[in-house]
Amino acid sequence: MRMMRGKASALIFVFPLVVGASVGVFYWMDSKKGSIAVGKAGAKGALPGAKDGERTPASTHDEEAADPVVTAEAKKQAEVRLKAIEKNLVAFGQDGHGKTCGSFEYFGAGLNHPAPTSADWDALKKTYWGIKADLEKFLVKHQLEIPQETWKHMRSSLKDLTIHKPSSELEADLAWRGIPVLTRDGEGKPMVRLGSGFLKLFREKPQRAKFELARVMAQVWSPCELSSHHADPVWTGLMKCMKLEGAEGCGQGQYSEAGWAVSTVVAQQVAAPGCTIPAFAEASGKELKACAEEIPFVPANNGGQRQPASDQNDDTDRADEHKFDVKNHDVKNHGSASHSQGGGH
Amino acid sequence: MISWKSRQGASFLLLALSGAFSACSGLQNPSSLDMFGAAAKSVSPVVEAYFEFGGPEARWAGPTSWSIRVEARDGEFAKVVSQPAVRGKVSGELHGTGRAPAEANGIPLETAREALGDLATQIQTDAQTFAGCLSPVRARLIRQDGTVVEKYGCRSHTGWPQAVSKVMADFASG
Repeated sequence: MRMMRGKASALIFVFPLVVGASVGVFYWMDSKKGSIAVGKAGAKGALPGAKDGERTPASTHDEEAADPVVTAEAKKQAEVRLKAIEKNLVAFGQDGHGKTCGSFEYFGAGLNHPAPTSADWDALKKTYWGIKADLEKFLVKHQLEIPQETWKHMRSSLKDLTIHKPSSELEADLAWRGIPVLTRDGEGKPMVRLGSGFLKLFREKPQRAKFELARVMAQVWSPCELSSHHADPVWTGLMKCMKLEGAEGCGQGQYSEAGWAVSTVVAQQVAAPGCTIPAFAEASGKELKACAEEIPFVPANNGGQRQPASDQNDDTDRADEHKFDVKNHDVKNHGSASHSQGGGH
Repeated sequence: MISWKSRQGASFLLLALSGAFSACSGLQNPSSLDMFGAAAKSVSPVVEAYFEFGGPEARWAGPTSWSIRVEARDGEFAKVVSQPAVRGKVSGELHGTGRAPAEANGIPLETAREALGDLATQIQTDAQTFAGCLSPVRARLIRQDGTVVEKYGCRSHTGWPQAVSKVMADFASG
């Protein structure tokens, strides 16, 4: 009897140890496989497609991942499937081509929307680089009208900008959208992320797609972006001209209409949408359009005087320095994490 | 760097050791577990939610606002209404349901409540602020006891706006 009681006590002591150790060893061994799975899709309480636990830190996804090796046949099948899906995407709004522009997008097909084909993605990247080069030209054109430090900051923001394929894990709602958005990566650098349906817009309505892309790219220069970096308020003159004074909305918890106004005006100059932006079709549209065509920058600190030739040459050299070395450094695949601590988009 | 699972493994080992010593010394107190369960259950479930990714004024012809309303008050499934309806016929086929947009309501009530409850917790514990937003996000969650959790944020921020993005995508997938 005493022996049995002794055995029972021993079991009470040993059993949790054995169970705990087994579970611990199991998890430790599983961790060696390199996966992080806090919650799994299909588990109780998980929504369809939920992969929260698989969210990966930004730092591990900042390199462009090579496309997996696929056979020509598989590639062809994927393209056929993608085309079939894109054919049926829901179009929303009115493009307004040749008339007044409206909101327009092709909604994505959701979390299982196939990735863009490499041909589509390459074509889009080419357009993206073209816009980036045109925005650079815009900046160089107005170099003498913008205070030097602010100009440098604007150029550096543009240089830092990257573009990312649609992702089902990050900015997941974009799987259902057809818009590009400006967001931030783990280091706070600006990046454009595309909605799944945007590739169809790019194929079907390239002019509008180019404008929309240019607009979100130009948002790196929005008034609040500049003010969050303590740069000079270069858009004050434009805001005044467009009767948008006070619409900067850069305060705590505020929305900024000025950011949309500025980015629209800049985008129009580098990639016209092929329709009239409604603000320019209003009663006061002609005045606004004039402001948009001849952007009245706030005079630089030197009172609007052209800078000395030496400074000018110096800046010109700097402008030529990188000539947008965008070809390989700023196009990322879909896995990159987006984070932001700075000004909002 | 120690992975999440390595830490879990270590935690289980510690748990096992403490459990063994507790059993040995007769200090185990099951009522503490009941108390923890009772505290968790005392939070009223989220039975309704409204999420929105806002677009700019119509005069800029920018992206349209997209909102989703979820009702998880009663019935077998949560009711999900998307404005505008993003889900076409092809989306249903993709997700293997074949449901039309209006029928995209196949998320079990308890699953929906759990997802919304997790989001409410995340929203309430996230203290980050934003300034000068171009793409605002809004989340409003209503608990069964009538209390409301509401927050405004910005798409580009990490934390709860990203969680709202995920939840919206998941509910739209239905």
